[in-house]
Amino acid sequence: MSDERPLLEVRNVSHRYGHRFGCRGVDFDLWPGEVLAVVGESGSGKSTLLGTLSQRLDTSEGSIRYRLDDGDVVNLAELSESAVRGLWRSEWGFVHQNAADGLRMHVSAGGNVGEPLMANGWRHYGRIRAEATDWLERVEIPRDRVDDTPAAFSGGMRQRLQIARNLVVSPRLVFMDEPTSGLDVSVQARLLDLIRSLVSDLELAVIIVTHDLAVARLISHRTLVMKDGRVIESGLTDRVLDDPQAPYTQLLVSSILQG
Amino acid sequence: MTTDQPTLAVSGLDKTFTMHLQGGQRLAVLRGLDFDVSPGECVVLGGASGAGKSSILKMVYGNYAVDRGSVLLRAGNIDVDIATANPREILTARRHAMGYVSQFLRCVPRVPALEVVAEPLIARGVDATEAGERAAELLSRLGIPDRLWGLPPATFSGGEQQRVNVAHGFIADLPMLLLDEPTASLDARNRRVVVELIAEKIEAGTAMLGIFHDAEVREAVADHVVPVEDFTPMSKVAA
Amino acid sequence: MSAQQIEYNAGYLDEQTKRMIRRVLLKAVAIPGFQVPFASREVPLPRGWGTGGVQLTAAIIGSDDLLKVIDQGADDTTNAVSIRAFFNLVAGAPTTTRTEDATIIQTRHRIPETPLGEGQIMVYQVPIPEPLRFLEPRETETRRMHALNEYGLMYVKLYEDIAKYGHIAKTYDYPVLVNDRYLMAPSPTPSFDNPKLHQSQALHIFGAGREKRVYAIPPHTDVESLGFEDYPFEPQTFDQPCAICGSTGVYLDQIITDNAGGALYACSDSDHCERTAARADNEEATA
Repeated sequence: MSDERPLLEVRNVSHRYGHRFGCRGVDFDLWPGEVLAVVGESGSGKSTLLGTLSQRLDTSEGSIRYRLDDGDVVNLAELSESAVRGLWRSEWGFVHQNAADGLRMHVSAGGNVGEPLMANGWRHYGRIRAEATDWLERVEIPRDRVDDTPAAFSGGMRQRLQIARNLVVSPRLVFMDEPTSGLDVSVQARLLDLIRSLVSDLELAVIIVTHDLAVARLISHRTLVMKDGRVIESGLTDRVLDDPQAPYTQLLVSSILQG
Repeated sequence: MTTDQPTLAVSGLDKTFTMHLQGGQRLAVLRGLDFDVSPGECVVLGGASGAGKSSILKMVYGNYAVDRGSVLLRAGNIDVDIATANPREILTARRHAMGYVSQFLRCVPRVPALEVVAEPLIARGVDATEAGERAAELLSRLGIPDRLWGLPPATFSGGEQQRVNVAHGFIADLPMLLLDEPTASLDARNRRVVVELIAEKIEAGTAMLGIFHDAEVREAVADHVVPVEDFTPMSKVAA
Repeated sequence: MSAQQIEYNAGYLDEQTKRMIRRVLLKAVAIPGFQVPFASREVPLPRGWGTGGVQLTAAIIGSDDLLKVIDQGADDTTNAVSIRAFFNLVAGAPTTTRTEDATIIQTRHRIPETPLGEGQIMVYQVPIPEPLRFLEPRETETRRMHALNEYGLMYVKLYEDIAKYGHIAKTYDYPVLVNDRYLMAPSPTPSFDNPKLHQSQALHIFGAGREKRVYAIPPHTDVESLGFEDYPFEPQTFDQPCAICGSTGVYLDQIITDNAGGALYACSDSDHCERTAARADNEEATA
């Protein structure tokens, strides 16, 4: 292991909505190349946790330390807004459950994938287009769809386009919020396979929120189980799913994994 | 290199399942299990079905939590107690030192058989072409016709899936290999191939820990049998 | 019975309002290209018809100014004539059509062909001041983009043009980067006029009455029209000379001449056209 420090060090992190905690007292480390699944029912606080980690929601308590590409470790809460947005442009990605939230629906596929490049200062149309087209191919969208808008795409294609748009700038950390739910089972499988191979090819660190334990099983190394805003169990994904300790995790495993 | 040191040293292992969905019923499975597996040795877990043999493999691999005791894995740069290791250490140990051939194939849908088999090599940094060639070789040896290589194993018969699974487990040269009934649904010819593969691995110095219901296979490969029932509590249900 | 004459304050707006607008203008000049919010007032024309420009002119005009007003380059259209008459009435300012004589030139689209000089002020009537608006509808978000200098999105628009038409098809309100910092919409001026903004000797001020924004380009400021390395900005060009005065390298309007679709192309800048034509006539006469 060449990386001496985790990419993300999360300590006692909470986010409060008024008097109520959306998530509370969360601790974990995330290492480069590691896929962490956050599972739980809707309302368990997993999306709030994702929002807090990605700085879309503020950190009410605790600290989130992030190791920058240049090796410096920063406390995310202390970064300026422009520094956080800089991370969004160059080091982070966010894949939304609903592709329309992560895409510009009336901009062509090429423009959608090219936008992060342009935001990072690419100013050569030919090169932007070539890179965008290569990425469409990597996510299995035919090259000749480059000028079509996502409004004309199927759900699975939109989600793959969103992934391309997120990965085109080679981020180090990608947040995914239920990326496969709402898709047909066969489309889900294809997408999971794609995510899995891209994650290992690019050595991405990923935090993926899902209510589907099968998704966690297929692509994550580690799993956090959330209930009522707290992490009630965590560990190696195989261990959490094969030998769940907490009553709630046992319930979750027995009620969802039927085969 | 310390060749006299066991690759795997299990000692004082306890395991109890607490079934919260059944009113917190506790099921004690193992008490004080001890055994070692040395390089080039094949240790077989013996005992009736339900004795907890699969649970032992899963504890060694890190899929089951260990209540008490240690599971020391030592090979190359790996020196870790799986019982207390964090997920990252377990993943490192698996990548560099320990493989697992389960009863059932569990893989991402849609991935062709050849890729499924080559994947462990690629994950360890072997060039994709070479990994593919070695995967092809292993699949032919296990009698999977090459017209199936490009198809996802989910569409295969039980026996074919099992053989893909064996190939997936055997392709990487790891110091420790865990086998959970690798021959369960195979015909005599393929059983023989698997026995050969095991013998070759043992010859090469791999430490093996396995469960074999098939007496013939067990006879052929076992150096030593651990009587699991000796470590099973008399009363399984404790308060 | 004689109707009572209403007495308007000089320049129509009250002194406090003019002072407010001048303060806003100072800020706009200090931060070239930055959209400064202002408390837009009612003026006697509908929002969207140039109320921003009228308020700016009202705030800066004095009786010693010479005002020129053009609409699509022409001094003689209804709007231009009415606004000139309005300021002549409420500010007592004399008016002109001669570009080089004017101290204030209010415009809706064009920048005159005659080069502008020091001391002249161009006042623009702006319908939509936010260049990112059609791509990003949220004002909170576009303000952040300006604050943090995040202009990748503007290039998306240009990218889409090239992907769709093979070239950047935007021919008016072509986005510019002012003083290497703020992205700015030059209002509906044709891209033909964009180069005139770069290092101009005149002061350019922009007023959006409905959207309540003022921005400015001070004299001698860098104004760069955006483009890609392989698809740089190219202002519009015209193949033929003006059918009336024979000028080349000027912006031409298409004028339909009959019901059969016949058309001729003539200068949009009526002052330039008339004087060039007159000069040619004189030369002919003296020759």
